[in-house]
Amino acid sequence: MHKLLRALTTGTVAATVAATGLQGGTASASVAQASNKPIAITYAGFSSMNGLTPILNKLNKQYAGKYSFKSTAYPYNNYAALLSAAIAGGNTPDVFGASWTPSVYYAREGLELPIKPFLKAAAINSADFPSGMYGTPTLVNGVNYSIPLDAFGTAMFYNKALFKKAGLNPADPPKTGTQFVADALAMKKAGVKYPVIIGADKTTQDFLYPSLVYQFGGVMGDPKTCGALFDSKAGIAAATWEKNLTYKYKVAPTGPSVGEDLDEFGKGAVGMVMLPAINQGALLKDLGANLGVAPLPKVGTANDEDFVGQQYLWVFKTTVSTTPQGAKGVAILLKAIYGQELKTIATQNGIIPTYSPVLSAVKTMPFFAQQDYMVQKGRINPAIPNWGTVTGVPLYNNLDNVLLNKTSVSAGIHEAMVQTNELTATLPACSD
Amino acid sequence: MSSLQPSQPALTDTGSGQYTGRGEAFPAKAGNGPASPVLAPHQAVGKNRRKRRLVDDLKAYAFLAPYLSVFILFTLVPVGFGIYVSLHKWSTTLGNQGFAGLSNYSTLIEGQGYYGSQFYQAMSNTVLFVIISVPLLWAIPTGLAYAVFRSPAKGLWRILFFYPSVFSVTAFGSAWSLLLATNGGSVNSILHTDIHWLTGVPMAWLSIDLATIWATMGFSFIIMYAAVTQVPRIILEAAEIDGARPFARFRYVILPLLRRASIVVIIIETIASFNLFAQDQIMTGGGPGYDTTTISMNIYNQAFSSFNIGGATAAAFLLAIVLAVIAFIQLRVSRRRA
Repeated sequence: MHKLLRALTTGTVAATVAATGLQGGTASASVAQASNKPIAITYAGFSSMNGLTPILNKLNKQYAGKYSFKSTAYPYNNYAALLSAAIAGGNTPDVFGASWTPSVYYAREGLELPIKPFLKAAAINSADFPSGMYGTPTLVNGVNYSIPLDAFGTAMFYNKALFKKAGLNPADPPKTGTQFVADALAMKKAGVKYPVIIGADKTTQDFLYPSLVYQFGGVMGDPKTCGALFDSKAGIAAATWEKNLTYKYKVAPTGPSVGEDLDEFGKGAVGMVMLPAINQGALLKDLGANLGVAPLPKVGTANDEDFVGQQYLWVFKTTVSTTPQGAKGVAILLKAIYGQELKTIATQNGIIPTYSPVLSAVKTMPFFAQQDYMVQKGRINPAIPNWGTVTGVPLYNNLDNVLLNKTSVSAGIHEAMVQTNELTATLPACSD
Repeated sequence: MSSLQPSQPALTDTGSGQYTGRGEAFPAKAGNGPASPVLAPHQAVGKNRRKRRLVDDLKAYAFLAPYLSVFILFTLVPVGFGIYVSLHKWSTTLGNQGFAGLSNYSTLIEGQGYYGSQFYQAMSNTVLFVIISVPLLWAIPTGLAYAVFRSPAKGLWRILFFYPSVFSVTAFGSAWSLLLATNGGSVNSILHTDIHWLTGVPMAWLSIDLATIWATMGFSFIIMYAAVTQVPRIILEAAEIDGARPFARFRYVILPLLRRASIVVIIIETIASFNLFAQDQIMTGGGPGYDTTTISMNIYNQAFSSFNIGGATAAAFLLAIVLAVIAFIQLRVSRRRA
């Protein structure tokens, strides 16, 4: 009975949304045709797409009278609230760009359109995306709704000057967990105040903890049940290794404040940190030639797949995107983004594009070769709505307690999983 | 009607056989003289009064209309709609998903699920903050107000104590975070310590309290200073003649006379402290763990991270009820003492 009701409700909602979209789309398209007004294609996303405006200007000139392309930048910190308000107010953008897992939420709620027809219309070959970032890992109910735009891996940054001070070879950064600890101890012996800082906050742990879990052969969650799976041998091994750096090997200070790993490393006070690779540009400005960058050391025993942060694009079911002319406009926009815009993002922001025709064009840039390795070997979040952005909160709060030695590793990780499962159960896309 | 008006003075029927002399028409006694061809005098008076009252009412409403329309549109309607939302399963993106009765409330009150269990922790964290911050946010501005009142260069002191209030919470929150950072913060560097100002409890609360008091006490200071300046000098002089020292004058003369201003400050600061959000978000992110997560953060996360507007609205109404009860108790206690 419950399943029937659920199916009916989902069906009704989907049908309503679809019908509204189609009717509205037909109406707006006919209105546009009748009044010869251009069809407005709207894009919204993080403000990092700073090269988009000239491209939209060019498109607006090229398609004058037929289409009008507009974009809105959403600040990263409250994009979810702004997007929700836009959807609730009937101003849903046609194309949206953000982290990958929010797309899963909207797809599960029936608010997105399958992406494949748009790829075909835009002549974007899905084989040009890294295999770990499109296809099976990004299926939602058997359908792909989003495409990767850019990504950044989890990197180990090290200070070459402090390496030299400790008698270490800056050209030979640690490649395993054991070497990492040995190098940190050498730096400590040489008087380096902070050989390592392990950020306990979400910004760092969003990247580091899943990377270590994957390295130890674990998984973070199960998309089918929206359930967390990190309370495992791998999950505990990952947290134990992090905690040991502070309390067993004593190479990291206790209780660093939010963002202090990045800040202090930038000041030249820290030997090694493990952070999102997106920080490379800023750290290069701070440390210049003393900045060393390497993939994460292989701490675990199973594989060397590390977590990659990502930005994806998807198409919302709107009054425009559901019409043939509107869909054509969306495809034109996507083609422009995956051509010139992606190259601009890469060259201006140093973010690695995940579309191989563009990537091959910029691969020779200073730190792209290493990041390319991280991304090609990387793994994205599980296809669970808002995983990492929302459902990661209990994990990182409890991991914080573990790393502050307020609780044991096993108790902290177990509590994190219980709370995560309670939290995912509150998400409409998981609870129905 | 004009033929019935006396030359002077015009009196008003109070309904008890008395006349008030407020310029109303004089009533004709029943059976006296010929009946009015238009209206009986008492009817004319009644109609006149009603008309005047109506005009007065309309004038008042005309003046109130701009505010009332804003109040209705942006307060009353949202509150009413909020009650409706809190009784439904309401998704941020899909809207109304069906009537839920009181389940959003019972989930929180019974501590069920993630947000239910977090609700109590967040509420107790918030209450702890209120207990620490409100007395200080009243006592410090009050003490400073009296000190400035007695000091020279009052204008300078007023500017100094008020100026932090002009900073945005993001600015002062970030500044305090940098000052109090564990490993690279100025405070630990100067003191040669590694105190976990932001990552340990109770230091994290102390840090948030310090930052909040520094940044927000200016407003309370101005209210209390204005109240201090209103204390009649004659009373202070009488106390001085009677031998009361400055502290005694403050304790036994000034403080009792500041009761009303104090009530205002305490109620405002209590409500503001219960709504603590930004300092916390910027300085500690609700951590370590959940130790500084407040009820406002809980509500925000439930609404905009979990898209559960129904539950978040229910939590907001529970907070409003708690605030109303506290404000009521504060008023009752202060009135009883008065």
